[in-house]
Amino acid sequence: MIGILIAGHGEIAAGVLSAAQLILGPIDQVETLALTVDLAPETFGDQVVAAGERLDTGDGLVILTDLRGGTPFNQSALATRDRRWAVVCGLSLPMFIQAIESRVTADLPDLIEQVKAAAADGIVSIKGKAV
Amino acid sequence: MAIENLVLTRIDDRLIHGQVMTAWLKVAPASQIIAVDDAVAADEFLSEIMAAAAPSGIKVKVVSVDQAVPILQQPLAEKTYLLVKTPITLTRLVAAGIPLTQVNVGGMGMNPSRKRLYKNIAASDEEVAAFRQLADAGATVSFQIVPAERSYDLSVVVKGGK
Repeated sequence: MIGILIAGHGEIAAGVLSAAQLILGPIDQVETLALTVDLAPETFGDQVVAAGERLDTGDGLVILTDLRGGTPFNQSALATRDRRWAVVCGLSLPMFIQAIESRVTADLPDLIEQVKAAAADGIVSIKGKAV
Repeated sequence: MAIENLVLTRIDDRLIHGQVMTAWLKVAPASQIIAVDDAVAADEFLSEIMAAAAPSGIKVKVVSVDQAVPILQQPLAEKTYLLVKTPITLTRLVAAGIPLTQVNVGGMGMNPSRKRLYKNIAASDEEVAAFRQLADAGATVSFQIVPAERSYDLSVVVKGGK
């Protein structure tokens, strides 16, 4: 099964995992990483590699990150080089829930497309009459 | 003397850094980023990450110093940011005849050869010497991480700077 690493600024990764567990119950083969102010980008990158190697049991790894161009994204992208790992940015609860669902049947390229579609589909707006 | 359409020349060792870049683009709009770094330019994978890190709609060119010189010798066709990781890259451009009037120092992380200068900006002796060379060549070197905060001149941040 594809491993999932959620990496983001502050507590967002743990927050998304906690929210998903509320809906789905316990989730296997998932870890979270928090970037904090005192952490150098390279140190965070080392943490990504270490967690990824624990989570990748042969079927690959997807890393979900919060902010395009931010340190969790940049360092995760660097870690994918020469590995069967991929980064998807734009972390949201729908994205993570889709990743959990997709990895049961899909391979990594299909999972990437499915989580991107689910994240986009999760964005909707409702306007009150006074808007 | 300034290069036409060069909106911002910035030193940041993360080069294109998500929200920081977005914040600068709001106060000083541009449609193109030229990142000058020999190591990144020589590595297709790193160049690809740089391009993916930039906000949508911003063109990204990653070039070596040698490739940057002919590009910067002519007026730029569109509003452009010039990004480098260290002031030493800029002194190499200046030595090749590229005029720089304003240099923004925005991100230089701590490492064993660097000493802290200002907030989370650190520089080695060689890099401080490069700041001075840029100032001697006529550039205003100022320290400012994000546009919302005050900018401090080199002379304030480095004693004996000018």
